[in-house]
Amino acid sequence: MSGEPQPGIEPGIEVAGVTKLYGTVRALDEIDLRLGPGVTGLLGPNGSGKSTLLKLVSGQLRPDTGTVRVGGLDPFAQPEVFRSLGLCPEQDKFYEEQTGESFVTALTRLHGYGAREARERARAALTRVGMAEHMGKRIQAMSRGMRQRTKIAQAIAHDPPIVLLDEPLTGTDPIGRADLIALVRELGQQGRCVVVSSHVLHEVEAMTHQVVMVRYGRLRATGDIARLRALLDDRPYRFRVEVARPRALAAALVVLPHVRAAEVVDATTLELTTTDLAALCRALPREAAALGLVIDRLGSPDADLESLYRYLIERPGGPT
Amino acid sequence: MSPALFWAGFHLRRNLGRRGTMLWVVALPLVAVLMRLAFDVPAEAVGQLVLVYLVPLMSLAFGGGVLREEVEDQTLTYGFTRPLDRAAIYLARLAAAAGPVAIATLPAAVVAAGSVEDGVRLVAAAALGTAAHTSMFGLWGLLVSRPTWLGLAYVLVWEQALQTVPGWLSTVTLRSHLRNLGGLDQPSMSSLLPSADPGPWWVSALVLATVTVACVGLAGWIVRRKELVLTR
Repeated sequence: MSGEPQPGIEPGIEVAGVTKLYGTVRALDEIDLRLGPGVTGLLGPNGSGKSTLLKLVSGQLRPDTGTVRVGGLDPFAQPEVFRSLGLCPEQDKFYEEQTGESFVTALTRLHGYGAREARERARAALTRVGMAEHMGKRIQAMSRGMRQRTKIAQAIAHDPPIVLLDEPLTGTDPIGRADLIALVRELGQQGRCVVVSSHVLHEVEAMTHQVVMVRYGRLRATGDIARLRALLDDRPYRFRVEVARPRALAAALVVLPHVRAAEVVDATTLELTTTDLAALCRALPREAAALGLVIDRLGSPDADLESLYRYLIERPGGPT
Repeated sequence: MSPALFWAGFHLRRNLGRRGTMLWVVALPLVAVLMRLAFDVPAEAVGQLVLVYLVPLMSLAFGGGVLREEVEDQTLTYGFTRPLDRAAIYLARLAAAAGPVAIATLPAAVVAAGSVEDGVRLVAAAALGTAAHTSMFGLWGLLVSRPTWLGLAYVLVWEQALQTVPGWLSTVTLRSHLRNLGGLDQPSMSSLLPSADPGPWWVSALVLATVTVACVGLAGWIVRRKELVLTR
């Protein structure tokens, strides 16, 4: 691998007015998107339409309405687009009896390279994803993380200027994750157009600041992740406390400026709504200790990513 | 080597690497030899068995799942996201499916032959029969979700029923042309109602070649237009 994008088609993805139906289900609804060089995070909960969007961009599906262009070409009808496009698919599927090296070599040969060059490119790509010591191992004997790396290697072995990575960090260990994040950043810094889909916000945040957010098949937010973070900071946050006398604790906390509401749910449960989570975390043990109360359990119904999406996407005047 | 040719070889090696395939490839010629030498079965009967039953059934087993297997496995993505015409990918996979059928049936056809001339005709019939049946079942695999049942019905019911019908109807079966090309007898209900003669051998060769080209062409057209990726 040269490490630089090959001269070829202009790196760029254009999706215009695309709708995709699965029977009567609208998987994607009127999507408009233009992506250029650099890393873009494609964010959304499971089933939001991320993979469908990547399948359309990688020519595996055809839009029902609208157009998809990759470097000016239709990826469904013009296979030459794949000289400039590499895809790491979401599914953990392989020709299991192959070794990592023979698998990546075989797929690289389909780009027209001879046996020797394809093998060299495959080895370079596998080395780049941290598989130098395991490339001779059969895929069926590989760990999930190794399989994931092998999938990424086959996507980059032909040095494409456009790289699509569908949930690339799934199953990787923390060290492997850090290596792959660094690789994705490097690919973006080289001027490639890299699209990384994920439902894990902090993973995407580690790779890029540019995000596209999809939910229910619709494009809900695009832009800089810092803007989304700023919105998060203002987000009212619910916090659930189990304590012996919730009414007394509620009375002590509700007077604090950042506590918007305190609701006694039942005889031992109090639900607080705050705009400053850190301040509440400091105040809560202090006030409980002053009242001589022991906190039995703490939790937040807002801690999952789903609720974050809901907040960002469904709040009035949400980001676009 | 062209990428499509490489892909055909890659999948042929994968097919031959499977234990079940190797069993067919080794067992079939061995059974033909045993039938001829140990049990003294006439060459005609062994030839009928190979051409009329084994060629279609093996073609169904290997050809019916040409792309369907990869669609179900979700590995089709790897081939379809390369700078190759999808029809070329399909053709490569079809060739890889026909390979084990030919490797198993051609030696069996040689064993079945009573003379050199018979051998040439039987081998030609087995080769063209493999091509025609594999491409036909490959096409069916793109059109229906369970090509095996349809294929079994075709081989064991449709062609079986039509082969003894007097008149031209028996000549619309592939097996009548396989028999004609292979120099084997056509069955008939009685000597008073003989089956129709499909004509000279080259007519049958032409029919089998036409079926192959038509099925491959139509399948290539479908593969270029149909979404073959699982969306679950």
